[in-house]
Amino acid sequence: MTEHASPEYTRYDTDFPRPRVHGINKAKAMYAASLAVVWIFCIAAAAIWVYGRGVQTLFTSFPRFLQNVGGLAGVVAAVLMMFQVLFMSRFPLFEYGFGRDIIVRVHKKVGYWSFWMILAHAALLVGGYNIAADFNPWAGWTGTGTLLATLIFAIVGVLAIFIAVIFLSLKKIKSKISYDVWYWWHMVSWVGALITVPHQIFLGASFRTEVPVGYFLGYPVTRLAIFWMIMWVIVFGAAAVWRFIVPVANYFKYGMRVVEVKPDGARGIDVIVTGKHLDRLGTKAGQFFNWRFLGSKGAIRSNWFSVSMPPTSDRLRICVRVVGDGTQRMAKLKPGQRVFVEGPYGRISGDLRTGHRMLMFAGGAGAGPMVSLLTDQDWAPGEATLISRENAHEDTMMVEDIERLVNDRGLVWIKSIGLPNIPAFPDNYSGGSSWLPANEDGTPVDGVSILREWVAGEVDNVDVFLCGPPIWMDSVIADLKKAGVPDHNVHAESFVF
Amino acid sequence: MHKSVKKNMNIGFGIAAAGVMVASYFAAGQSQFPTVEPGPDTPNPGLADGEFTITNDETAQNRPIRALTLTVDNGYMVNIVVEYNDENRMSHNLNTPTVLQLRAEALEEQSAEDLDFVSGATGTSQQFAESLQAAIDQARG
Repeated sequence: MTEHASPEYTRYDTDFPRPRVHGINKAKAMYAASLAVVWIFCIAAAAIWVYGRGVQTLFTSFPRFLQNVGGLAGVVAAVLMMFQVLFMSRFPLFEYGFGRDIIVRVHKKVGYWSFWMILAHAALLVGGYNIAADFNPWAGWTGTGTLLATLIFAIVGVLAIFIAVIFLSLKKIKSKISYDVWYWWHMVSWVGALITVPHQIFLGASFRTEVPVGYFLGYPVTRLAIFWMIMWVIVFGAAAVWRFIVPVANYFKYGMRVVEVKPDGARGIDVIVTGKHLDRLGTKAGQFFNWRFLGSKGAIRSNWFSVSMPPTSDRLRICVRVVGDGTQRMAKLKPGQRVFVEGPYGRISGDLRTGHRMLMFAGGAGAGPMVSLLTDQDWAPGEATLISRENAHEDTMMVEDIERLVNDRGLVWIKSIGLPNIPAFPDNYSGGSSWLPANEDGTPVDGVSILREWVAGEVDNVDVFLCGPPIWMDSVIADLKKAGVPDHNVHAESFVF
Repeated sequence: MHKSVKKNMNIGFGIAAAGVMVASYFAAGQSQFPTVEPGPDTPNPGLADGEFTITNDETAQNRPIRALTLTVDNGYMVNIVVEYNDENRMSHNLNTPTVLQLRAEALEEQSAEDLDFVSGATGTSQQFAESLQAAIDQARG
């Protein structure tokens, strides 16, 4: 059932507008700036520990050694927590510089390390102080006064983080809860991180080796402590601004409303949204928003959708596959309903192009961003190929727009129709690449040679964009690698959270 | 696309990090008990030059100072170095800002009288003032 039409593109017309390759430099610069922020935070944290005489007193005695290393573990844990909040703050620098995929991957790794660093911090300090006090756990505390109360904060905060994060990282739970439940649970861990800050300032040894610049509630505050506070303010300030203030301000500024809802394919709908000066959002074709449609049941729940046409000053369009959860409700949307969006997010855009040709893989509603990119970008007839992967013909989305691109601009459209070639569908399973439907004669699907045919030996001249179910994209990307397409020419991003 | 950027930046920032660490190490080493030159308008208390050490045998928690050494140069108090009772980082670091504060005040006024005691650390403040007064008395001889 697959129509493996081999693209017969014409040779390049030299007068034709070329890809805007300057975007690459911008993407590189944003990446470099993001990495610089990470480095600066790391250096600042390490310098605080060293400046706070962490090294000078390291080997004066064994308990002191444990205490100093425990203090360092605390500093590391804290700076990792800063990254956890900063990366998830939706700060545009990171959204564009790192991209959601890198952010989510790093977020998991950093979360894991900060968990162990917090445990090491607590264990080393309890051990270090108890050895110094001949295992009399109460000896060290007299005279430390009410500063000790901040330690209670630390314990409560850490418990909040651990309970929230351990709960969330259980795979069974994550697959059952909606994005929004998951999101608000995460906020518990943010509050936890916030209430561990006082014990860092008032008990942190590194902040207590200078003449204080002032007193807070009678307790000395040093320059270094103020510096550390500024770091926290930047972190939570970024989160407050980009997570909450900007979306709320945009809601009032752009006054977005639903204008039209119409069916798209057998199982999809198109939603068109209007607003004032929407071009000022700076949305690029290929980017996505988090959407809430107010005034209908369950409006507090949100969904991720890419824009499905190049954004104009008064129109945004999304195409939605009605599969469940929030999307079923969306079929009942009425014109006039107000829309609350967070975004635009995502680093996929025409800026990433390095070659002349475009090879676009759209799985289901992934047609949206692919078609909007094709509409937005410059390419000569035959230089762009769209692969639409659907389980059934009548499901195909955005047919009207695609046909227009085929007729007016010379898009090569490859329809790849059929049930997934996976063991879960034994009647249609023939082995081999799972991103294509099964071969009718039952021979294993050779995705790599089909890709080679499509790429036609021009691995450096073709940019591959993908949008669809993550497992499907992974399968395509694996075959692209085997077909010799370099990583930096493959552009995929999932709405992972 | 980002690999070369990452490599170059990691090298650059790695070197910068090493530099900052070395600078922090030496800055920290000097920030503890540096010698203070008296200002031009400071009245000369007329003490005997030399080092005068007061030691305490008490180990109570609100008496954390084991030894206090006063350095006198040209009749002026130029340095006060404090050692603590134990190497326990908690009490050490809780007391350090208090001691640094009182020390700066004492060196500026060239006196142990009328020091502003640090709230929340009256025990430490009192012991510091008493020890310093004893050292000054020694220097007056």
